[in-house]
Amino acid sequence: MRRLRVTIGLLSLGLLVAGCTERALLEVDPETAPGQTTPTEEIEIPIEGLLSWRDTTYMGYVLPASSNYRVVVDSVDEQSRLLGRIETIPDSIDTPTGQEAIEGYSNGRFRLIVDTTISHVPIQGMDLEIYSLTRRYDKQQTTWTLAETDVPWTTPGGDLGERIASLTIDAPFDSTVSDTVFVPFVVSTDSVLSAWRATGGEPGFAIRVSGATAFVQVSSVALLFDVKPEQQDTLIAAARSPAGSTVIFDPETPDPGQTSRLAGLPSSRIYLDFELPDTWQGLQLKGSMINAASLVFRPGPPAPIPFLLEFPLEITAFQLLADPFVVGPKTPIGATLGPTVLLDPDTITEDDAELVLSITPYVLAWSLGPVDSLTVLRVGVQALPEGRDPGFWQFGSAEDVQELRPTVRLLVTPRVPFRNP
Amino acid sequence: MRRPVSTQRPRFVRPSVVRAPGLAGLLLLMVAPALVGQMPTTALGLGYPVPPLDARAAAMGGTGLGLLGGSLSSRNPADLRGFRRPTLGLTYAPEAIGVESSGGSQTTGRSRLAIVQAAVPIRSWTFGLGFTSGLDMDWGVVLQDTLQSSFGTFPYDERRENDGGVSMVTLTAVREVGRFSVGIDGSILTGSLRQTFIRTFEPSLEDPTVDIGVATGEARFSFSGFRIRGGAVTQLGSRVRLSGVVGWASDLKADRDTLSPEAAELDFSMPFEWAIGGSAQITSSLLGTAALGYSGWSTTNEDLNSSSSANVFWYGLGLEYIGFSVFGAGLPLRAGVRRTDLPFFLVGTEQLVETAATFGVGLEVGGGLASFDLAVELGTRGDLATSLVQESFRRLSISMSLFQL
Repeated sequence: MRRLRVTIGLLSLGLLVAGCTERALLEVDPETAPGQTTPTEEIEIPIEGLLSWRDTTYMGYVLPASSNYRVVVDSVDEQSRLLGRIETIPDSIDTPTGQEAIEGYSNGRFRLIVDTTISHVPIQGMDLEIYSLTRRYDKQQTTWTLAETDVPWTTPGGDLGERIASLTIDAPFDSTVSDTVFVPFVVSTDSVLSAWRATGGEPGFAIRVSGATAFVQVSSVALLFDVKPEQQDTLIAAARSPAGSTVIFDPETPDPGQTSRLAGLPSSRIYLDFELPDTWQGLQLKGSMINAASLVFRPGPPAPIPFLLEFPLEITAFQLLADPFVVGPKTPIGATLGPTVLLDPDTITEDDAELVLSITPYVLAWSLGPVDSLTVLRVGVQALPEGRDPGFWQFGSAEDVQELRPTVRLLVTPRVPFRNP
Repeated sequence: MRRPVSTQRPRFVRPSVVRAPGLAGLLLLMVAPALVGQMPTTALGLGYPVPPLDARAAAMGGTGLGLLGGSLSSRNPADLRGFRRPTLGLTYAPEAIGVESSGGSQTTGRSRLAIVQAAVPIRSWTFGLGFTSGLDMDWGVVLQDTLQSSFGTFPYDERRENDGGVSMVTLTAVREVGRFSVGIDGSILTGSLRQTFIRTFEPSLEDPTVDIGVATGEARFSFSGFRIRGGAVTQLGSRVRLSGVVGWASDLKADRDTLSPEAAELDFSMPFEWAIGGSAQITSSLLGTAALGYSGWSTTNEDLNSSSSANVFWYGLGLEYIGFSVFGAGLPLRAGVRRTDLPFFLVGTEQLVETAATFGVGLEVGGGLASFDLAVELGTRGDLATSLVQESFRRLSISMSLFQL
């Protein structure tokens, strides 16, 4: 028995020593390294090399009414006006003695808060005018030429009626004093507000400037007025913000045509889908490690004024959860596929400039997923902030010339073959 | 709003239409096709054939055939008849390696359980059960390089490792017939090989937020096959013992256990082999031994892709002096030399030769119930100039044996 214990002990010791010995790794020169390996290759697949590719531009994700773009312009290249409605002109008011009916309105004026750092008053000064409209408009559908869908303005830019408020502003803006501009009524406040009270603010008003190169960035608009309660001699100040406000501009944002467009107002996105081949030029893609994958877009020329992109945008690509060519612009969106990329209008015009958007996790899921679990890759591209201003940038699409068409760029490490042990 | 555009076109496109910014070329990481230097011998062909020797035989020129006094080596099944008592032995053989290259030398290490052998004599028979390391395929390298692409510049580490090899489990039967002991053994070739590849990229040098991760690969193989050997030993008087053996093995089959478009099963021809040797008691305290052998590895050549194989001849010479003792226990001193071809080498280069000077000492304890043997082998393998592979090695073999369990 003792010998058996000794035997087992010796065997265990030997196996333990053997098992604990660690092999050291040789550090070798990459040029002469032994063993089986596989190269990491960068490839660029033109859309003709894909099994399929479809792309399109959808517009309207942010409309003028829902954007923060509130600019009143009068220039050769662009005209724009703000439209609004004061829907809640009061017919009674709370006083220390109780709620009193309103007998009349007076001292009306619009208060505009202006971004004086970017607004521009021409040397000869400008008139800031507010007109009542003679035709109602639909907030979501109105444009420079249309009051609503299929209903054109009699006069493009809005059917202007009576001028109800006006202010002449001399150059330059004295921003050191105030960025608040009061535009007083030039007609009877009581008659205008009584009419608006009766119609719920319809058909509304338009704010315009006149004076070449006048440009006013408006941060907010409010109507200030005094009310006189019945049976009282005192006036009570009141204020209302416009509802249904929007901006219309000329020229209107053109249709993207055959190009791919990002940003603008209404804002545009690029939606696309494509199918990668399992192999490309002999290189196995399906089943390989996709270290990086990008969609590459080639920029077109700058858009004309007023659609020239002035400020950088953050561009992001995201997964689409349904077929965008069936569901349309409202295709549900999924996860963001990569970091945002800066679209800088100052550098995108350089030679060979590209917009490169990472879609690595999506392509990796295609590569390493079960066969046929994911065949069509659907991607959306948008610019952030979306709908900031009419400025946009366009890129080559599948229907453009070869040099402008998008491509898929991959960094691929195929499987190690491990052919022969 | 533009209508969707559909593009369904042929797959392949002329390379000229590819617009690649920056690096116009597509292949970025060039993998060296040639293996020059820095190649461990275990990475050649089917690996390094581990001699199935105990420390006593290793110290005496790696002979192990017809050794007077017995050897727990596995050169010849008939040699197990040299033990008249039930015996169990284990030999552990780590070695330090210096891998030579044109740029210098690097050290690494290998460890092997060279042989575990049990022998049980029953009347005129002796039965044995053994485990031996057959082909050692363990190796690992790490390299560093940089990938340049339009995605960025990425330094990376790459590890390539093989872990595993072929072992043998052997059942032996020996019978004493007159002045001869005739033995036969059957071995199951077993084992596995795991090949791994890991390339770990560091973040981009231009933009540390750009990370392209890792690339990995793995393949696993299971080995199977068998080998049969027959041998004989004869004693000429009390001073000389001669031993001879021949062996044949089936193909070594490697079954791929991982999914791959490559072949799921690979077959490698295994060699016919023979060896002869013996020992003689030159004086009462001096034992001499010599052995030589052959393995027909050239038949494997057509099964290999990245290396070649050729027949192997080997020989060894050794002496044992038993004049010393410590506390009454015998302390034999041993020495020898040996030379052997190695079966696998790089395509287009010369076959590797391994030579070594061997030394050793033994110690019997417990009144002969156990023994410890130690062998040191100092030698080289290959030649950088002619075979592009060269290693220096220092192998330590440690045997522990128990008698009359």
